[in-house]
Order: sequence, then structure tokens, then C-alpha cells
Amino acid sequence: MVRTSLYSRQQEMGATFRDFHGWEVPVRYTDFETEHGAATSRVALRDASAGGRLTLHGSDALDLLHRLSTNDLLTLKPGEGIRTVLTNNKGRILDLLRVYYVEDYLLVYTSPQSLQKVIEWIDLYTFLEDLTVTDITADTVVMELVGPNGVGVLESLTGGSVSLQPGGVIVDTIHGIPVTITRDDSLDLESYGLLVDADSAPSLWEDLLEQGQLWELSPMGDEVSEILRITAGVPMYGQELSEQVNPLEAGLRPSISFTKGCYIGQEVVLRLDTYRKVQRHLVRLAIEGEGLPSIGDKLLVDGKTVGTLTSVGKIPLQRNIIGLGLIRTAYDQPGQEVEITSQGHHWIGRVISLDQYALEGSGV
Amino acid sequence: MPLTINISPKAADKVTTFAEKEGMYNFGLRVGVKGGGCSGLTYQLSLEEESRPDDKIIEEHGLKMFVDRKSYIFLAGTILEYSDGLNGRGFEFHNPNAKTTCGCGTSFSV
Repeated sequence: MVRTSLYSRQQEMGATFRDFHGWEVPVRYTDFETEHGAATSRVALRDASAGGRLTLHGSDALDLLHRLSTNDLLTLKPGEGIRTVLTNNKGRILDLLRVYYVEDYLLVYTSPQSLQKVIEWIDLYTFLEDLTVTDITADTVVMELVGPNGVGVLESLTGGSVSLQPGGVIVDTIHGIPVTITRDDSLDLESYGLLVDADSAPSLWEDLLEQGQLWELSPMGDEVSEILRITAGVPMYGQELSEQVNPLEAGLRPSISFTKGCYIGQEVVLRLDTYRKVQRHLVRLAIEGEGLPSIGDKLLVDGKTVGTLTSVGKIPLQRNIIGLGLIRTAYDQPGQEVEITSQGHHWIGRVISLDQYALEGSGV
Repeated sequence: MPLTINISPKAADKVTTFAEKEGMYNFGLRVGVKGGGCSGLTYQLSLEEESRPDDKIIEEHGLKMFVDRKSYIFLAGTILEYSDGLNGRGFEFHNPNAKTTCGCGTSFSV
């Protein structure tokens, strides 16, 4: 498993860890309530390094990605970022990418398990383009400030105002360390990603912990960020998103341009939309029962399979189980009840809203 | 039939006519492939005065074609034709490698 340069400090802080697609990620530092409360009402510090990071240099970088993915990248200006779906010619999802136009190059974030696939796909479709792709994953770390006080912590460290729209990106320095700051709001909470080189990461982590004390900052692990992600209905590659799923099924409509013209898989995506042939939708579920159902469990109505559970988590103390699922269109209405059965256990799930992964602004 | 890229006499003629209209007399037809297009790849045709170092140069019917190495892999066996008349579609690539094509006919996959 990959450990970032923050690992030993995180261990010292009492973090427990788990394997997330080959990355050893912190799960919990203190307790659920503290971490969850920090992210929603104060500020939480999260290690968000488990993923792929590429830079794309060259005058054809933007154009090539534009031809290979669903969103309109040609409208991007320096300082802006966007989410776009890398699709194959059947309109299926190879990955959901975050693309940031940083000054004069592109910074691309991939899902951890898709990194190699994305690099190879871009290379396959590079012919005479002026383009150089560099994998900076191993050399960098990303930490995130999540919550309303995040910008306060950030500004007290950059020494100036940080005014970013969702999707925005700037390069700044904190105590002499170059930092690429992105505004992501990826858990439906105001959040800022800080990309730094791996060697400087431990020092920045300490700075954030120290400065954060004034803002009641707490570190946050994967357990809480998963619950926040499910609560917000944000789809993730490997669970809601995969090559067996098309973007319209999985709540990625804001990442698709219907006016940009050709890209790989465009016809399929367009046809699905025009003829209203999307067969499944991503939904949020409130689940009751003992224990915890598993990802992949079937959702049943009258004994018939109508969907699959793609994410699930328990909120301690409240004993609520929440989940995300892909369910046949006929059963995607709020209030619809489904049965989940596995390993001799039984749960009742209720669709609590049609998922709309739609963030304001640039669609990131 | 050896695996190469062929051009029909009519297509070669059309290219030359087009080039002359553009005032080009010493030129090659760059035949290539580009990523994108709904099926994955699209064909590219352009007129260039000189070939590039890594090009394959194919001569047929008095016309020189420049093909970059990578495009050549996707195009070997292809015949470039020209269909005119009332319902003509202009230049057409007949590519035995192409597995799927899109509705508009301009994009293909292998």
C-alpha cells in the first residue's frame, strides 16, 4: 500500500488506517462526532492524496481532453476548473476527472484505481498533438480544508485573501512552500484542496493544525468523509461509477455538455438523453435494520431485483444507515421502499431523494 | 494485397484539383487519424508542402501521401475514395480495421 509523507505523523495522532485502492488512508483520528461536527460547522483537515495527479503541458492539451470527454473544456480559462467524464465509444465511464487550468498547464485529478488507465487512454489517442503528460502522483500530497472556517485558516496562512469560486484554482505560497489551491466543494461543503510536493507536506500539515486551532480545526478521516459523501449523494468511481455505468445514470449530468459537438461516446450519451432511455438512476437511501448491508447487495421490490447498493455507511449514535444505490427508473421516486437481504440479515431501504449531484457554479 | 494505404484515381485527381485551386503545386496529402469523434477516432486530410521526419511516404496515381507512424497503424489496408454525384459524400475512407462507425460516418473505432 502507498503511504504518503504524512503517514507517520497521522499515526502519531492516533489515526487508524485502511486500504483504499492501494493507498493506506486514515480512517479515524478521534471520534465520529468531533470529526463530523468539524467538517459541517467548523473546519476539518483531510488527507486527500489517495488519487491520481497528472499535469498536461502543451498547446493541444485542452483540445485533446475536450475531444475525449463529456464537458466543454474549450471554455476553460486559466484559474478555472471543471469536472468531465472520460468516456469510451459506448458512452461508458472510464473515470470522472477534475481538470484545472493552472496558469499555462492542466492539472488533472483521477480516481486512484484509474490513474494508469487514464494515462494509457490519453496516450492512445495522442497522435501529432503538442502534449506532454507527467504523472506527479508519487511526488505530491493533497490535503483538504473542509468546512465554513476553511477559508479563514487558509487566508491566515497565505497572508492574503483567497477568493475562489467552486472550480477555481490559484498558485500561492504558505511559509515559502508553493501550494496549488483548488476550491472543490466535493462533499457539498465548502472545501479547499492544497497540492504540495511530498517533501513539504509534513511541514504544511503542522502549519494547518497549528493555525487551525484558532478555528477549532480537527483532522478528519475516511469514515466521516464517506458519510458526508453519501449524505451529499456524490458518486465515486469504483462504487457508483464504473465502466458498466453511463454518465446519465449516475448523476453526472452537470459534467456533460450537450452542445459541444463530438467526443468519444457522444452519440450514445446523446441518444440516451434524447430518447429518454436512461434505465437507472442514482438514489439516496435511508436504511433500517440491524448490522450493515454490503456494497453490491441487491435492492428488491416484491422479490424482484430492481437495483444495487453502491455505497453504505452507518452514523454512530444516531444508528442511522445511509446509502447510495443505482435503481431502475420506475422505482427511483422518493418514498419507494426496497428490501435488502444478505447473509441472513434483512433491511428495509427507502429512497429519500432522487440524486442530483449538481453543484452551483462551474459544475465542479 | 500488401497492407498499405491506397487512393483511388478519382480521389487522387480530386486532391490535385483542390490543391491547384489553393495554389499548391509541390505538396503531399497528409492522411491521418485523430482522437475524438463519437466512435473514438476521426480521419484527417490536409495538404502540406513537406513531410515530417517520421512520416511514411506513399506514392500512387501521381500523388504523394504523408502518413505519421502512429496513424499508419490504424490506417493500414485503407482505401481513400471519392464519391461525387448528387448524393456524393466526398472523400471516403474504406478501412478494413474499422469496427464501428458513428451515425454521421466521420468517426470510427478499431
